[in-house]
Amino acid sequence: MQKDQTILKLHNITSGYPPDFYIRNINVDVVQGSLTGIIGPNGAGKTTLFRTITGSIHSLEGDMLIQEKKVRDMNQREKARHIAIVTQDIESADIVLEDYVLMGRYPYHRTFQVIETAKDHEIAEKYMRLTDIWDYRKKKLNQLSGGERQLAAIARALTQEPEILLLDEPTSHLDITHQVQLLNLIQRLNEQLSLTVLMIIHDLNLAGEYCDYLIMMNEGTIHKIGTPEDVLTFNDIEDVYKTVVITQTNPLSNRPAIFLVSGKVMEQNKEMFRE
Amino acid sequence: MKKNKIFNWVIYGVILIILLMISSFLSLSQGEIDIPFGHIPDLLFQSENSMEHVVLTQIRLPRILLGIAVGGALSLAGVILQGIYQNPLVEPYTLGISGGAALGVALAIVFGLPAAWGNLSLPFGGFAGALLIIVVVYLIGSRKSQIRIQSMLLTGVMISFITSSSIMLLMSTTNTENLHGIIFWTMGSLDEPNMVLIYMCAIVALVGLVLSYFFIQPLNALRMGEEKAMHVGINTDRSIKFLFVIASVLTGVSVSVAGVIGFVGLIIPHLIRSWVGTDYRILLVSAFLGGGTFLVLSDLASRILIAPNELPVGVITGIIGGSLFIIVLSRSKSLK
Repeated sequence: MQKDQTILKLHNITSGYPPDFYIRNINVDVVQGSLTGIIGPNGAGKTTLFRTITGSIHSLEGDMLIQEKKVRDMNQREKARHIAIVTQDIESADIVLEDYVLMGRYPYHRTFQVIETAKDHEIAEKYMRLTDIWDYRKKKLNQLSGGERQLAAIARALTQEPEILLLDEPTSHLDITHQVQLLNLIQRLNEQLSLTVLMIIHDLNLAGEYCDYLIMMNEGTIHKIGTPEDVLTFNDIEDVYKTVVITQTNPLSNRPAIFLVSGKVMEQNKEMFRE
Repeated sequence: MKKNKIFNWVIYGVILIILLMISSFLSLSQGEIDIPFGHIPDLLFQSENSMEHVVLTQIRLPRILLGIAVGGALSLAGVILQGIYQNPLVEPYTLGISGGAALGVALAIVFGLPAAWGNLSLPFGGFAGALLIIVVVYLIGSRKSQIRIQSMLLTGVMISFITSSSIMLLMSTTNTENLHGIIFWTMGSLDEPNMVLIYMCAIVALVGLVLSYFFIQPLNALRMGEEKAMHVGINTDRSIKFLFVIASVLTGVSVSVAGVIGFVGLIIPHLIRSWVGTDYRILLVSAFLGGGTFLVLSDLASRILIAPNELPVGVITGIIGGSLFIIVLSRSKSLK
């Protein structure tokens, strides 16, 4: 499959918990091999969209297609071979890390299979080494740090050998060292394994720096889709986030960078912002 | 599959089987008449006219078999239910199944069924009651096509309140003889004269154990929670329904035959889990063997503590089991 082909297509999706809150008329074509971020303020519908894609919420209208095949025609197992999911909550179960990662092979097992094959172990080892958690494989998840558990969740997702990796705010529990490490890893996976990545990300600077495309959501609909340069503009951010920011360009990466302004500074520079 | 893991599992299994055998031998030898270990094989297979032979084959052996079956079934049901509800406090009796069985038996006693249809009417009344509750909890929990675990749990808890109050209602309005019958039955006992029921219990327990191994993937994946189990391709709805039915039938049959024997289904899964780990591949069979061992030993204690009288085995499982649990809990940090 070549680049620029649509791998995941959301066609006219309406979903959520009516009447109070739902997402409406969502049309997205996720490009094969791209790293796409979903951004937007709290309550914009990011998580509803995410949970609709994962299947936790059934969409009320519209279709989701993976490589032109309708997801509603797939069974759970088949879907799990296409899409792997890393949720936001930190994994805290009392499970040995190695066993946890090996559960990523379930989509390839027969329904009543009890024992993993040598190949399963090989694949799990590959991704535990890739995510740098191989040394902890005998430890239990609840004995690991938050960052290590996040890596474990990614290793488990990769062990599913999916075409699409879906992450819900993968950096939200991490300090900046681990945020950058994790996003570097995701970028590497995206490039080396030509894995399509779709992730919710709150931090606009990280979103701008790492993502190929951004989906900006607001009030249950898509506000704008495009490259970070297209989406992270002064006007769009002000419209959606109701916040005034200063947008500039990172001199090294040429990606958009955003500076927040405190209320006090804003007050002191009233004249400038009025323009 | 790594070799050292399989090796560990085999060790756990062998230890548990040896423990079960030791407790069974102890239970064979001890009681109103003590039979030395060395004489047991001879007495079992020869000297068929001796009193000891009769005691062994017609009293103690059936009790042991029933103890293993009921203890194993309850513990297995507990481990399965804790797995699907992802709640360590759930046990076979939380869901009202035993309440349903007890109500069935109480009704059978009050309406004089044993006199009319014989003593078998009690276990059948119990099983009918248990079955009714299973269907009710299941239907309420699985409305709207998607099964809702927490609402099933709450429904079960409420139903056990309703059934226990109904039993009290029956007890307060019936005559003394019936009252005694109900109280005696609800205390639980492995003293079952009907061999057919004992074999039935054993077969159901073994079939339950085998069937539960068909659901290793869902049980293991549910340790991450229902949503994440779905993410790795598990059809959680279907699996939870099947597992619920397996655990319910195991409980229903055990309670119908042996009465209400508490704590086995709560404590043994905890103790075994803290020892062998959370992987259901070893956990299921270990819980079964551990439950059997525990109930055989509890029954032994109930027979010899105030011999020649007998204590209800439920009293022993509650007191010993509860104390054991607190000791282990206070010593082990890994047990949550």
